[in-house]
Amino acid sequence: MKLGHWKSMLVSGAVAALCGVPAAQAGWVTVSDSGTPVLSNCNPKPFTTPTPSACLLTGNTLPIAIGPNAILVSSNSATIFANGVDVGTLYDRVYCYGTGGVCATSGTNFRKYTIATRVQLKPGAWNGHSNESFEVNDLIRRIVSGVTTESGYWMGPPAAACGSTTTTDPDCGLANMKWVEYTGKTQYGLNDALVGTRDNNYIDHRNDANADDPDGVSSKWSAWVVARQTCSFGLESGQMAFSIKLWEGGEESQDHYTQWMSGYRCKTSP
Amino acid sequence: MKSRWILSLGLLFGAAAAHAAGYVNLGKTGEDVLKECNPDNSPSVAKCRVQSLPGSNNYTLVGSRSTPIVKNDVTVGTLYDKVWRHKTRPNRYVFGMKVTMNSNQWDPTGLSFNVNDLARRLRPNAFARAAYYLDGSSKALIAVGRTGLGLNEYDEEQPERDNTWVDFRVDANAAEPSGSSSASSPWVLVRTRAPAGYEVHPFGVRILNSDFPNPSSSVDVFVPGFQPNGVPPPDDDDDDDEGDED
Repeated sequence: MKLGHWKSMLVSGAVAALCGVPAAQAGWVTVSDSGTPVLSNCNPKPFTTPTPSACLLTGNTLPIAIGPNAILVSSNSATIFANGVDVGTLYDRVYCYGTGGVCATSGTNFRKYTIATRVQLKPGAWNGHSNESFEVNDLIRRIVSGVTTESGYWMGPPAAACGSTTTTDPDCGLANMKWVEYTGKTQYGLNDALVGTRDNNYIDHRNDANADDPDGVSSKWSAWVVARQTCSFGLESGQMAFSIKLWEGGEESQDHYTQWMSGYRCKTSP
Repeated sequence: MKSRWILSLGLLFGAAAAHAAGYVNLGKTGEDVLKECNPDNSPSVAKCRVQSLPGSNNYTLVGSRSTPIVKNDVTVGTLYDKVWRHKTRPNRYVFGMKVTMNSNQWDPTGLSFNVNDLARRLRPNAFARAAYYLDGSSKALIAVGRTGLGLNEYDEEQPERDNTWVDFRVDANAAEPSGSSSASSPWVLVRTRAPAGYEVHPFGVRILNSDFPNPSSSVDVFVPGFQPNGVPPPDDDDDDDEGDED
């Protein structure tokens, strides 16, 4: 291991200790419901390599990564229109857990769901402020408040299993060197005046997706970001309006921008 | 008696000059960027107000269009956009726009879309004079100036000057959470010089909703709109001043 890796790991460890966040833990993390910090560390910038295992899910497919025994319940994709410009595509999925392709009807997996989100972005101007392309710094979505929530992310499959940073296939898309930095229960993303303020109705994944990033490392794919909850009342039928918030926080001085999209969500009452 | 009449007339004309109706010169220099028009929405205040479209003689309508205003895949209103050209001085144009909003829900708050500023690009070295025409709106133009910054987008008393923009401070909302509502803005007008004519630019008009306690909640929508040809790209300016002559 190079000295630089040791240094960055030491820094990450120190930050985690200061924030009261457990040092790297494997895969899913359980995000906090009260107190501070609101955001749990996954792989904050400057990125650490090898990638910390906190929040990181691995496998050749998304169901394997979030599994075992994950079963696709619903799937949708939608064009993201900002100022009338097609700036990319949002992918929205829900998985349950069960056997034989049937969601569990009892036990710990009964009504346990993983909601999964990713974006694929396009380069090009989309507003009258600049010629910068659309950037997503935070993927935020509605969840059920008061329910334990596990959070994680999957970068995409390895190259040997179709993984590619240039493909247009959401199951093969590989986020290019842009790992999820933080996750937690808030709807306020990077550089928001209320960044880090708790809101247990939302789960945030900080992920720098941009097809033409001014920082020099472009990733048109975000990671698949996932949150797992037990939904006592099941799922809403179909997508619900204003369930997903895409936030551009101006990491390279772009304008703040919110795009609300429809998405799957749990019912909050019978 | 005679001197009292003269004094009264003097005061009358003085007041009229201070609150002159019609187009106001927005200038190109100085820190007094935003010119007040009718901030208290008083019916007796005529400053910046004209009584017809486009509010200047000898102009002919040469372009007219409308476009839906869409935010988060929800249509929240319509922009109406017009351009007039002077009959004998063909480099002179008036660009006018207004919005009519609806009460559709467009974000999780459930509030209708509120328009605080309407803005469009200009050639920075050309003169600019601005006015408004109520045309059924119950809320007058609040202020106007050459800046790219709208309500709550600056900390000082005046916004930073940017002569590539003209910003009109309005208050259009189909369902204000409190107080009276005016779904339509007035027609907001800018008279300027455009020797190379005009185009419909894909991001020609900026519509700003920024009356929030959290500044990060501000929302702007760009829609296609008329724009003088020769407007520089963002952050590009030159010094070839064309004077203030109308």
